[in-house]
Formats: sequence, structure tokens, C-alpha cells
Amino acid sequence: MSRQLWTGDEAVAWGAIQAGCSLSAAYPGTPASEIQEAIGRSGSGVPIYWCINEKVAYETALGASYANQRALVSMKHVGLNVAMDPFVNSVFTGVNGGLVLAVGDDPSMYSSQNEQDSRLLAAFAKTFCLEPSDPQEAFTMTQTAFEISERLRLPVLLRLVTRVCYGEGSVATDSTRRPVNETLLRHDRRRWVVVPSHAKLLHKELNARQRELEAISEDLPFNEIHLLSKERGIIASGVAYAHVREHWNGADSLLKIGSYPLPRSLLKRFLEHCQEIIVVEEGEPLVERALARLDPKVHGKLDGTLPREWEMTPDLVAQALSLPYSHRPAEVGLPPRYPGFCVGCGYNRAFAALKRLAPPVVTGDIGCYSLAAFPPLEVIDTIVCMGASIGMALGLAYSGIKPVAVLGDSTFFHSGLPPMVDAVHNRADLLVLILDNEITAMTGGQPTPAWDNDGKAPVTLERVLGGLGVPFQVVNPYHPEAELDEVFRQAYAQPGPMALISRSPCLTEGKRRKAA
Amino acid sequence: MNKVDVVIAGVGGQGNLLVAGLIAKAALSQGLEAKRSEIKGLAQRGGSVQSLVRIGETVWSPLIEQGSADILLGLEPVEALRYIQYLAPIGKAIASSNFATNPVSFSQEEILIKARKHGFFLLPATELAKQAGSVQSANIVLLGAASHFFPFPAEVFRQVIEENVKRFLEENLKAFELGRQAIAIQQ
Ligand SMILES: Cc1ncc(C[n+]2csc(CCOP(=O)(O)OP(=O)(O)O)c2C)c(N)n1
Ligand code: SF4
Repeated sequence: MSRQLWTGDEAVAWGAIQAGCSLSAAYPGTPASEIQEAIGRSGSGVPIYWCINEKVAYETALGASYANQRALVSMKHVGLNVAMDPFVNSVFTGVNGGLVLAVGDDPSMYSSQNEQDSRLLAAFAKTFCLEPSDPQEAFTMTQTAFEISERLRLPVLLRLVTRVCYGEGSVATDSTRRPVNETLLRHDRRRWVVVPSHAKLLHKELNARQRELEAISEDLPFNEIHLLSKERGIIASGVAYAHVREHWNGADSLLKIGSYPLPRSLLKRFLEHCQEIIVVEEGEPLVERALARLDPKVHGKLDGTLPREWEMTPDLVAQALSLPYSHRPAEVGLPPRYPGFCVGCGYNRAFAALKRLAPPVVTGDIGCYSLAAFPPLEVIDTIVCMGASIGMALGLAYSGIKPVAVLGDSTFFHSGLPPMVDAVHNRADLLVLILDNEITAMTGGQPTPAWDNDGKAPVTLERVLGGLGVPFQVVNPYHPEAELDEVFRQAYAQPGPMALISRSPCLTEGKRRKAA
Repeated sequence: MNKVDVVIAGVGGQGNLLVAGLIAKAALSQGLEAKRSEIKGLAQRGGSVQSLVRIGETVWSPLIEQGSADILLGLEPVEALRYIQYLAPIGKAIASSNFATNPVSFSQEEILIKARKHGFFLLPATELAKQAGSVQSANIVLLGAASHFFPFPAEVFRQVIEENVKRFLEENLKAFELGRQAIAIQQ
């Protein structure tokens, strides 16, 4: 047994390695990128794949599971929106080798376009979900998740949040690593071909099995009940449980939730025991809703005892429990500090040129370049989700407005390709500006399909655009302004679709690539 | 009570996370528990960065409640003030008096006056780091200054620095001493 300081992400990585995982697939996204990075650094020999998007990552893991291998797939919460199709359907087909889907939710949106609660998506898909409260549990639960996945033959969702992913804590580990599964092909078309005739039966079966899921949940040590005072009880899950423990006086009854479907009999006992209950959970009031319908003595997010948005904190818990709480007032009127492009980054110059071009609308995307929606540049008009720059540009073009769609190289591969095909097919009059910094910078410098290291075949933007029949030009944003303006002007003047690739290697994250 | 809650405030690139990590490792080496939490993202592109480290016999939450931090460590004076609401009434506030560049203009003198009002120990961490031979080590200067307020001797910090800081070790150890002395004189 040894003890190390690990972040939750590292703990998930090592949990998977110890559990005999033989493939890791991911598309980067804060706060989950570091799971696969930790596997890559581990020296464990578990191969990692940075896939072009989360859907492909999920399907890659599912393919490995089909061959009886244990596979881990990781992504951020909005990544699961992209992977939702294969995820939900794989609950119908079931899995062969254990499949664990680690999702990093981002309450308070430290680095995301929205906040959403992946526990709801596990419930929506009708599969099992585990929710660690700290790195130690992240380590243990990842291993349990593989066990449960194989026992139930269902994918298991591991719900993480920023404070667990990036929180570091000590983790006790024992060193036995489970051997990987034997590779096996067991064809079963009645399961794996979800045409209506099969799917109809599979859905019945899945619903019938929900009891079995509940029974497993009921028995797990991650749910813990302390029946003490009858006057007040607290129910808490995930990292919110850690905040509650900080304030727990040992007198209130306490129920910790760590797995879903909810352990119903524990909840029932708790509900019967306590006169008043406060539910503290990160994200949506999922536990609370299950109870509130049964009993009006339950307080939480639905009656305003706790706020519905943003992350849970010990401060909020203290207030909800009516504990003494005070602090000195925050300093007001401090100079704000806006993040900006790194000094010398080519994005500055490309956006300055775009600003001088002044098209009627610029649809943007997600990456470092999102900063161009803010002062001083303020050139980007929309940012919705990855790939939406080209998708929305299509609708604008069809409405008679000529847009410029701006996105990065990684985002282009992630979800810019399908709308690009539509643009060509429909001869949509739009200009696509691809900011090619030759890396996925925003999330910490992960590779793109254009890389040729480790004997991989480079899929370059030129090859892809050429193949699609999109006329394109490569520009160096460091060229003199007048020259740049002329290139932008001509590209925009030409009937679309047309693409401009502004190529300037990332100055900051690029160093990592060289070092690797 | 061995419990120490530390808020570290700074700007991307100042080595905020390194300091937080060293404190956590020092605690672990003393048989204590540690939890560390930070926020990444756009912060890395020159925005503000905040880390939280909590050490003690048992630590549950990765977060620190407002009004309860034992130490507020500012790698930059404006950023330090931004988190003043976290400081406990009897907490120690330590910050560098050297400013990081900011796209928004403001009066540096006013900021320093505000900091003094809150009882900050101010020290020119970047200048001291330069003196130690590595401008990058302002964070370690501040760790040295804060080292007086932990429930273990400074030697523990010297040890974790030796074990974990690979580049400019001599300079960093010197930076640690300069920070430590700067506070000893003011106290
Ligand atoms: C569906 C989804 N997956 C992942 C992310 C996280 N994410 C934000 S930006 C980005 C990639 C940016 O890469 P690129 O487009 O090359 O731009 P760069 O940051 O390099 O400028 C990713 C993966 C997200 N916001 N949404
Ligand atoms: S990380 Fe790279 S792409 Fe992003 S702003 Fe800095 S230099 Fe530019």
C-alpha cells in the first residue's frame, strides 16, 4: 500500500490501468483532458487515442469492448452531447468488455459554454452511474465501474466535476494490476444490430433490468447512512458530500450518495427517520426531485434553500445548515484582468485583418480564438458549440448574408467537416477562416490528425479541403498588413465556399509538442 | 490544530500551481492530509489564477470558505486583494508588491494602500527573486515568507523544494531564504 498525491483525473487514469483497461480514447476538454494525458504519461503501456471528436472516441471504446477488451473513454460534459448517440444506443446493445465513460462536468463554467449534469444523461440512457467525492474515491470507483460494467454488460458513467478532476488529494493504492481480458469475438446480432425488431425487445429487457441496477447500487459501500438525530438529516452526493463533511457536527443524520440509480431503500429509511431533510448535490436537484415528490419536508434547490446554478461550496452548505457564517467584504473596484492571446501569437494579426475586412457577420467557434469576441478585438459575433461556426454560416448564407466562419484546426476536424461538405454541395457563399496553429491549444496542447509523430499518417487541412473541392489559400499572418488585407479581401470577394488557412504555430503549447 | 487553509492568488505563468503543490507535498511528508484545487482554462492566457491548498489531520472539502483562510498568499498585489474575502479575521496576508502587467490601467499606489489597510505583509518578491539569481522564483520567495506560518519547520519546505524543483535549484533555495528573512524582519 502506498500513498500518493493525485488529482481526480490522475486517480481515474490509474484506476483504469489497475483495472486492466487496454484502450483509452478521448477528445480533449476541460476538466477531463488530463485523464488520458495521465495514462499517456504513466508508462503503463495502455495505448491512448486522441480521436477527432467525442462520438468517434466513444465508438472506438465500444469497438474495443466488442472485442472483449476493457476500455475507458473520457470527455467533458458537452462532449457527451456529441457522443450521446452511440452512448444511448450502446445501453441497448450492451457491452462485452467493461466500458467506462468518464465525464468531466464543469459547474460554474470555469472553462465551458454551459453547465449540465451528466448524472441526468446516465439516467436518461438508463445505465449505471458512479459519482466520486474525491481522488481516493475516483481511484476506487473507476475500478468498481469496470467490474459493474462487466457484471451488468452495460457501459458505466463515471460522473466527475471540475473540483474532483483538478482537486489533488492523497490516494492509497495497492499495487496489484488486473491482467487485461483475452481478446474474443462473440457475435450476437440480436444485441448488436439495433434495428427496430431487435431494439423493441432490447428496450423491454433494459427496463426490466433496472431493478438489478438498483440492487447493485443498494449494496455499494459508496452509499453510507448514519441515522442519528431525528430532527435534521443531510443527504449529499459527490464533491458536495466533501463540503458537507467539513461542516457536519456529528449530530445530524447523514446519507452519502455515490451511485445511481439511487439506493432506494436507504433513501426510504432516511426519509422515515428524519423530520427535516436538506439535500446538497452538485448540479441538478436529481436526488432531491426523487424525494421531494414524496415528502414536503425535503429542502434543497427546488425550494430555494440552495441555489440552482453554479458549483456547490462549503459557504453555501454553511448557510443552508444555518451555521454561523461571515467574512470581510470583497474589495470592489479592483482593475479587472482580461485574458488575452499570448504575446506574439499569430491570432492577433489574423483577427486584426478580419476586423479591417469588416464582414457583416463573423460566426465563431471554441478555442483560444474565442477571445476575439472580447475587447479589444470584438470581431466574433457568435459562439455556440464546437463546429457551429460553419453550420450557422450555412444558414446565414442561405438567408442572403455572406458570413465569415472562424474556427481552429482541431475544431475543424472535430465538427467542421460535415457542414463543410454541405457548403460545397449547396455552393454556399461563405468564407471559412481556419486558424491553424497546428495543435489543440486551448485544452493544453493535444495533437491533431495533421501530426505525423509516432509513425502516424498526417491528415492535413490541405488534403481534406482539396478532397472536398474547397478552393483554399494558405496565408502567413505575420506578413505585412497590406499584403494580408489584400488576401482577405480577395478571398471574401470570391463566390464561396472558399477557405483561408491562416497558419502560425502556437507559441506556447507548441513547445510541449517539441518536447514530447 | 494543525489545520492550515491557504489561498494562493496570481496571474497565469507565475508558478501558482507549483507553490500549491509544494505545500501539499510538504504536508504529506509530515503525515498530514492535503487537498489542493485550482482553476485552469482561460486563466492560462494571462487571466487570474487561484489555487487552494488545505492541510490538516483530516481534510474533506477541496474548497475554502470565505472568511476562513489562514494564509492568503498573493503572487501579485491586485490578485491578492481580489480574494481578501477569503481571509480569516486572524489570517495572515502576504503578497508581492511587484505588479504584473495588466491591460487595464490603475493606480499602483492606491492598491498598495488598500493592501496595507488589510494588514498585508508586502515584499518585493520579483526583486528578491532577481537577487537570488532567477526572476522566475518570485513564487518561491513568497513561499519562504509564508513558511513561518505552517505547523512544521522550514527544513521540510527546503526538502520538498530539493525533491521537486529540477531547474535552478540553488537559486530557488536562495529565493526561499530571502522570502523567509523578509518576513522575519517585518514581524
Ligand atoms: C464538444 C466539445 N468538446 C470539447 C470542448 C473543449 N474544447 C474547447 S476548445 C477546444 C479545441 C480547440 O482547438 P482548436 O480549434 O485547434 O483551437 P486552438 O485552441 O488551438 O486555438 C476544445 C477541445 C468543447 N468546448 N466542446
Ligand atoms: S496558446 Fe498558442 S494559440 Fe493560444 S493564444 Fe497562446 S500562442 Fe496563441
